[in-house]
Amino acid sequence: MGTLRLGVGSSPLRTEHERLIRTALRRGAEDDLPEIPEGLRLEGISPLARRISIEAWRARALHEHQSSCVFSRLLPQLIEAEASIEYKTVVLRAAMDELRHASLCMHVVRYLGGEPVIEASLATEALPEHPNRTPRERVLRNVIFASCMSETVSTSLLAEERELTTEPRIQRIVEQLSADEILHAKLGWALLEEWLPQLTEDEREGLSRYLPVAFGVIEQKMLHAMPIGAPFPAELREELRGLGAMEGSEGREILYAVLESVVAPRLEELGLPGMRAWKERRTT
Amino acid sequence: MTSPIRLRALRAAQVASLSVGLASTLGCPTTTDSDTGAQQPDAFVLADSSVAVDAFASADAATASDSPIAADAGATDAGIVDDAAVADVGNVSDAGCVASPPVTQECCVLEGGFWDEASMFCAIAVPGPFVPPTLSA
Repeated sequence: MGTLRLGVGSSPLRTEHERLIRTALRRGAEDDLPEIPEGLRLEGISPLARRISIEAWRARALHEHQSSCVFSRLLPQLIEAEASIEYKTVVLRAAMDELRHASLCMHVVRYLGGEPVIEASLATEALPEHPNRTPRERVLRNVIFASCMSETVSTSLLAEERELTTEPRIQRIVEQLSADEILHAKLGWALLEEWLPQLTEDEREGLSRYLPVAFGVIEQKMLHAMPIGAPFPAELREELRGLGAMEGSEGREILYAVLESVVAPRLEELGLPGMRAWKERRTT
Repeated sequence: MTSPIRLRALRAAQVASLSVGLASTLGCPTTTDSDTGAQQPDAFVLADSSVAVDAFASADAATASDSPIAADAGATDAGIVDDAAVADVGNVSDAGCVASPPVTQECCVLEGGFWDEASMFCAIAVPGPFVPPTLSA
C-alpha cells in the first residue's frame, strides 16, 4: 500500500513542471487548460451524490496515474522496433497526459469536498516482452491492446460522459480527458496502419494469434473495472451523470459496442482477422 | 434504440480508429478534438476512411440485435459472464463477482470500485490503458 498525493511539490523543478503543463501538454492556442482553484467547493448537491462521485473521481485519478507507466514503458519497445520519432514523442506525451489527468481528477475530488489523497497499492506492472517474437511484432501486440483496444473504448466512454456532465468546471476537465484520449487511441491505430504492410508473414500470423487473447483480456479487465451495483435511482443517476460519474452498466454497454462495432471491424479493414478474433476471444 | 449521445460516443471511437496522421490530432485545438463526437461533421469521418458516414446507424443495429453478448450488455449482464470466452477469468479476482448484480461490497472493492456503505452503490471510473497480456508464441 502507498499514499498517492498529486499536489506539486516545492522543489526547484516545480517551475519546469508548470511550464510543461502550460506549453508541451497544451493542445492549441485556444486551449484554456482547465484548473479548479484550491478552496473552491461545489455546493448544492446531495450528500449521497457527493460521496459516490468523490470515490469515482478518486478511482479515476488512481487509474490515470498508474496507466502513465503503460505508455512510458512502450518507449523502449518502440526504440527497439525502429519506430520513427513521432511515435516516441507522442507515447511520452501520452504518459505525461495520464499524469496530468490524475492531477485534474484530484482537483475534482477536492472540488467535490473530498480529501485529495488515495491510499492504494501503487505497484506497477511491466509490459510483456512476448519472447521469440520480433521487436516490431512485440510492440504492435502491446500497442494494439493498450491503444487500439483500451484507449479506443475509453474514447467512447469519455465522449459520452462529456455530453452527460453538466457541472461546468467538471465538464471542462472531462473535455480535456476526452480530447487527450483520442490521441492515445490514434497512436496505436496509426502505428498499426503504417507497419502492417511491412510485416512478414510470420509477424502477421503472430499478431493474428494474439488478437483473441487481447480481446478476451480487455473484455475481462474492463468488466472488472466497471462492476455493476444496484441500479441508481433515476434522480441520483442524473445527478451523478452531471458530476461526471457513470454507472457500470452504461460503461459495459459502451465497451461491447466499441469492441464489436469499431475495433474488430477496423482491424479487419486493416487486414487482420478482427471479427474472428472477437468471436473466438479467450483469456489465455 | 440507441440514443444520439451513444451514437456520438461511438463515432468518437470510430474517428480515433481512423487512419488520420498523429499530427492532425496534435495540431487541433481542444475545441476541435473535444467536439469530435458532438459536433464533428461526418465529412471528417468520410474524408479519412472508407467507413460510411452512417456506419453507426447500422452498426448499432447489429450491436443491439445480432450479438447475444451486446444484447445482454443492454439488458442483463448475466449473459456476459455466461459467455464461455469470459468464464475462464484466470488471474482476476473472482468470476462470480461479475456474474450476478447487484455486486457485494467485497466484489466491488475487488474489482476496483468504491463501495458506498450507506447507499450500497458501487462507483466506477473510466479505466486507463491496461497492461497487455502476454502470449509466448
